Amino acid sequence: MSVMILYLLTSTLRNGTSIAYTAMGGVLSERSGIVNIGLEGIMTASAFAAVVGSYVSGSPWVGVLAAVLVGIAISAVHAMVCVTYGGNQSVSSMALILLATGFCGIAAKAIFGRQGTTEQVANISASPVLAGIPVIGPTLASLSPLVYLSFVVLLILIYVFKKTAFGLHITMVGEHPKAAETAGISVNRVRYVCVLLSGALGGLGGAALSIGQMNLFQEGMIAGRGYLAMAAVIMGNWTAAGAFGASMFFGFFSALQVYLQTRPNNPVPTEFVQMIPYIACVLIMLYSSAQRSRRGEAVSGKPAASGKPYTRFVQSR
Amino acid sequence: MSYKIQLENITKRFPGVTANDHIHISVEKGEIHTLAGENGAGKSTLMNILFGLYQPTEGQIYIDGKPEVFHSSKDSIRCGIGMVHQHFMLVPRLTVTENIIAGKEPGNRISIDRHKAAKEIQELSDLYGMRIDPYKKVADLTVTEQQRVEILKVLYRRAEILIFDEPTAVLTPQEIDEFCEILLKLKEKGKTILFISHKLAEVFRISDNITVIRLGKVVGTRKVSETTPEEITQMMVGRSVDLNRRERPAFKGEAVLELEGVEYKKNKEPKKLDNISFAVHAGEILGIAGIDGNGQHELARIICGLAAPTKGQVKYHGRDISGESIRSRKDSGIACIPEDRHLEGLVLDYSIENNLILGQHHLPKFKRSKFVMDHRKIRQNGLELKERFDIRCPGTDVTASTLSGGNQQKIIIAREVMANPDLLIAIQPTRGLDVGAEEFVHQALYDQRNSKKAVILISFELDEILAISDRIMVLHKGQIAGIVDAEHTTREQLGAMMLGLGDKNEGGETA
Repeated sequence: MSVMILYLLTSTLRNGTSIAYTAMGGVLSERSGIVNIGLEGIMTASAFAAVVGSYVSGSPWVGVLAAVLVGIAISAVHAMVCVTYGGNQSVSSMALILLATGFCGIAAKAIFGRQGTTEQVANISASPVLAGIPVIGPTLASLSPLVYLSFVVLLILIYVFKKTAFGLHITMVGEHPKAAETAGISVNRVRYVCVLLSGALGGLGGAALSIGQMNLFQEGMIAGRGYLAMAAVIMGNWTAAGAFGASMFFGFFSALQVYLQTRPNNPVPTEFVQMIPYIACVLIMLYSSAQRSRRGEAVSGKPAASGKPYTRFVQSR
Repeated sequence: MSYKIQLENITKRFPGVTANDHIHISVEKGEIHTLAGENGAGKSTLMNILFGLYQPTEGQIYIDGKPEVFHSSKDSIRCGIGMVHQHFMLVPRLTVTENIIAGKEPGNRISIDRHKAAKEIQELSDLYGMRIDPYKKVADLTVTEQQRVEILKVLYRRAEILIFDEPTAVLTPQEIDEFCEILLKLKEKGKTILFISHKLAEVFRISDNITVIRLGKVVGTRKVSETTPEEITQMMVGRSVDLNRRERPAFKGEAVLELEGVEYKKNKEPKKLDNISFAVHAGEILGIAGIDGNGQHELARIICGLAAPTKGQVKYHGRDISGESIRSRKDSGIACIPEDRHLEGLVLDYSIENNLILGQHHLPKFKRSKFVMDHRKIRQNGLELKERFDIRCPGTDVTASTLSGGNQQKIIIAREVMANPDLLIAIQPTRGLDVGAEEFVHQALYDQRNSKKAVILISFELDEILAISDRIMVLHKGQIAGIVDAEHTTREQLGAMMLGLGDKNEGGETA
């Protein structure tokens, strides 16, 4: 029994981390008023970039760096379309998803000469440094350092929103960009920083999957985790801690799914078991929005200006 | 001597419009200077230029005699200019303190010192006699309190020049009194104030000088001590305006709308309307007076069909309509000029011509077949109403959001009057409008009355109620405090009834 609990716990962290990074990135971007449905695309491209980085250099950390850079690069395109030119945020992100997915398939073939998958590369799925700690050492060591880093990122984000001027600026910009501008805050600058950071976090999310949890890239491996991250943002009521928690919730269902699959003589077909995280997502969203509508709209943490392009006073009347 | 603010030759052109045309204004330190003018005359544009939100096409701004160029509000804030916007620039979710300090936070880069900020805000608010709790969320504040937060935001940035863009438009008469006190206190402390308003009563009460702008040009500047409201009105509108009570043909037809024992309450709240019975007749304007929140809102919603009475009957031409849909009410001749024109009167992102058919869009005259709209007829209708109601716009295909408040209200009035209603309900129809537009609205109501239709006017402005109505009904705590004949009633009598002190049916109810 305790073996099962321990397994589910570590597996939850393993599976939840990649969603959690991405969801925290989503929180940053949405709190500043830019919706990023393209998280799925960012995760895909950066998961691939992480493998390539590790393959070329032999060091998985170079892979992580590559993933972050690719995440930033993709979100820079999104930021340019949405922030600078006031384009439609959904269309821009959908385009990025299609682009990223298609590109990774072709690039995998070009670099590794295989269809739909890469070679296995050096990864960072364990933290041997922690093995020396008594009792829990071996368990802790079996988790990727990226799992631990996600908690650090969470704490930093909570602090930024709660304590710093920049956190206040993000809220202001996401809620009432005109108010922010008249207070002397640059709306576009704040939004750029947030979108780029969300790209970096999405990059970490992709890397956490491809070289934190596994050691290769396969087409379709993200399998909707970017969308789950978006759901986690909403479930977490647009707060970093909430989104993190929701992501771990999804992580738990993924863990459960894997656990059930590996059990011998499982009577339920695997296809159904694999649906668990997604069905959980639908049910949880249904429940949480029903709760929210019962308590009245005002409780929702959705930033008021989310998804609305902002044009400065100068150009408008 | 040098002026605190000097605007030289300021011109601002937008595509197709010259909003400001070679404007010169000089303001001395410690002065309250009013910019008066009709809606859309270019006052707000000018102030947005001074605050750095717009850049002038031509012209030069001098502050303390020094030429300055403002690329953004950051620059103007640095020069000691602050602006209290007409639409509050506040985030409801954040606290008073957070709203005030955003963009100029005390403390270091790593953390904000919220308590230090709150203390400073408390001191500032005490200094100017504005009670406010710095830790409260803005969402929980009243409109007056929100306005104080806006003022504190400006003072917190050490502004010496304060611009107020129609600050009284959202306030009730009592709140305006308090607001004037605050302005005089600011002046006492040496602040220079630019005040945009077209409510001449308070303009004359607090300002030193008045500059009138019409169609983007300065008409003239007057010392308050040397001018009269009549002269300023004349300058603003370009003609004399008469808002006084007018002679009217006596006519009283049958009852169009009758309410019998109407009660309204929601869940466990106290009754919003209690035993309301009255009638409105063809050819009369029934004014409904009362302090805000005494049931006017609910009454209007019940007549229009937005709410159902919990008890009682609403009879229209003798037929009980309390269960009927809004559309069937509209089709049978009930029209409404709603309280909030942005929220309920218009779809701001729609074109003017589309706004002009809202609520009548299903009528065969705007359709080619059952399912297809006839855009040519909609355009035609738009152009006709634009002419007839003098809606000033570049074209009927521009969005309603680009128009001034007065012209937006004209769209609503044109639309509702075009339906040729037997009953027109106007709720605060002149709120935020300048005198010219106000006169226009009044004329529309008179016209309805004189063509033997019934009109209900709900307003918080006693002068307006007294000038327009044939009879006046006063609401107090959801009950009828009395129905009186407007011609033989004074402000004082109405005021007493509004506070619940008067006798019922003093003026002889005939319904």
